[in-house]
Amino acid sequence: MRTVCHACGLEQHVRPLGPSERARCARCSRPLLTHASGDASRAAAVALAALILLIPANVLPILELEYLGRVSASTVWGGCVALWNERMWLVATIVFLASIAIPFAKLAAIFYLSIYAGTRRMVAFRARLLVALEVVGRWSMLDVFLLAVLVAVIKLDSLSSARPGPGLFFFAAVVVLTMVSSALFDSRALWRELIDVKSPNVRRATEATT
Amino acid sequence: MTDETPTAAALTSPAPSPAPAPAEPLGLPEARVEPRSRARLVWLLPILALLAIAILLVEEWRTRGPRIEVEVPRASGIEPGRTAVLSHGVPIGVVSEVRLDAAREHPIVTIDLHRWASAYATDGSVYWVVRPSIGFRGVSGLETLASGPVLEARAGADGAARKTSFVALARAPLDAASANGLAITLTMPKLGSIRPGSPVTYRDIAVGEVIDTRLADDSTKVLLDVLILPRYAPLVRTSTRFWNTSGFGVDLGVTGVKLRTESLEALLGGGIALATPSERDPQAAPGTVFDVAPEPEKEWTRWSPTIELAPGP
Repeated sequence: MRTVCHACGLEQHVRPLGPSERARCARCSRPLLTHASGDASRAAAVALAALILLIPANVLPILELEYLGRVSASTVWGGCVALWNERMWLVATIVFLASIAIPFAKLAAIFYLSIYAGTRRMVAFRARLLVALEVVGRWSMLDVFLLAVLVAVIKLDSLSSARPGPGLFFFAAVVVLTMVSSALFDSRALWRELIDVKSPNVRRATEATT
Repeated sequence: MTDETPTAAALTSPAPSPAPAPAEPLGLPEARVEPRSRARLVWLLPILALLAIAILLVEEWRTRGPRIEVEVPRASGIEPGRTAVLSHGVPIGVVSEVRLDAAREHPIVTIDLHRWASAYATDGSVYWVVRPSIGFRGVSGLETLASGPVLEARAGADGAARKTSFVALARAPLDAASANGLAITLTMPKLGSIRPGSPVTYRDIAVGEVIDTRLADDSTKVLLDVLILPRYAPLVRTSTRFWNTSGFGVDLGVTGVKLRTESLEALLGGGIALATPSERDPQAAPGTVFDVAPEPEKEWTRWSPTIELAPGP
């Protein structure tokens, strides 16, 4: 099959790959293609690790504010509740969705899709889930939230002091792992299965091109 | 061809499937294909994550101590997660909840003690709320002006029975280090100017303190809970007399006018003095009840027994 290197733009030919083979660009040696069934276990493992770390990231305080000698520790969930109680319902909902609900849903979806990659179960549902993941996943804004917290840590005046809480480190780890797992996640296998199930003749056609 | 997907449309082969493989255009470089290691090591990540959580849980379990409840006179300024519980200034726990009791009359503060501070959940432990206060005894609790009130605690004796429910003292004990002094009860017809914190004196030396004042169950008199410092506990015998030193009296006699008062502090804040006739009488047991005379009889002030004080500061 013909492909173009994302890095250097060289058009080249790749012979059909086996399940444990990887193609590198003939010119710049960047990874070009992997077998379409992919190595879903990488994305699944990273997503699972991020899912696990989401628990301490949300339970432990991410920020310990000290103002005039009194310390208040705040969690993400506590922040949402505080916003809600301050009658800022819209902001509270956005923070909840962007910092808790959608990151969790996104990681869960990546994990689920990666685990089932290469099987033929519930392909149609998984395809819909993948589309939803791409639409909704943009609202997963853990990193923005993290940035906001860090700005607060740095910017506060001398009367009050803010310390990163233990939850912040887990939060940062979740941010990194989420990025890694979405980068590792390979949707090609799913589309291939979808074609297999829905329209076998298309499959034959695509196979013929490779 | 009913399945019109973009991929299928792109092929547009006039011949029915299977489509013949199109000839490879010449001149294209061939990408290098290499074996790829199966990712096993990456599964260490979730395992590490689980490990981190396990460590956190173990740490939490290791540091979490008993949970106690303290009834406080007033809960204003006490906030869950913020108000510290201190002993000699060292944090021993944190307030986790503030609520009212079942009768909705007394605030109950729930405290999570650190594990090493479990001695503060035993019979004999005392709790009180430190707030900034200015009184005859000077300014106290100034450090709480900015931070809000804190709870201060003293542990019960070693090996005391476990206890998880306490009633906070109305104010800090005279010497907070000696909550295990001699506790006695005094009765008076009326309270006068005695307040919790009023001193109990022997030869004008403060030997104890009024901890709490309340009306007797049958409302015929006023009861004072008094704590005598351990060092001065031997001064209190079964025959000891107590009298009220609050206020002043004027004696008019042939020798002239005699103004009688103990000290300015007692005059303003109220106080109780004690005298003991003889060192041969047995020491008073904790909980002994004494009457407080409105003023001393003449001979009480002349009593001068030789009493060995308990060792200590």
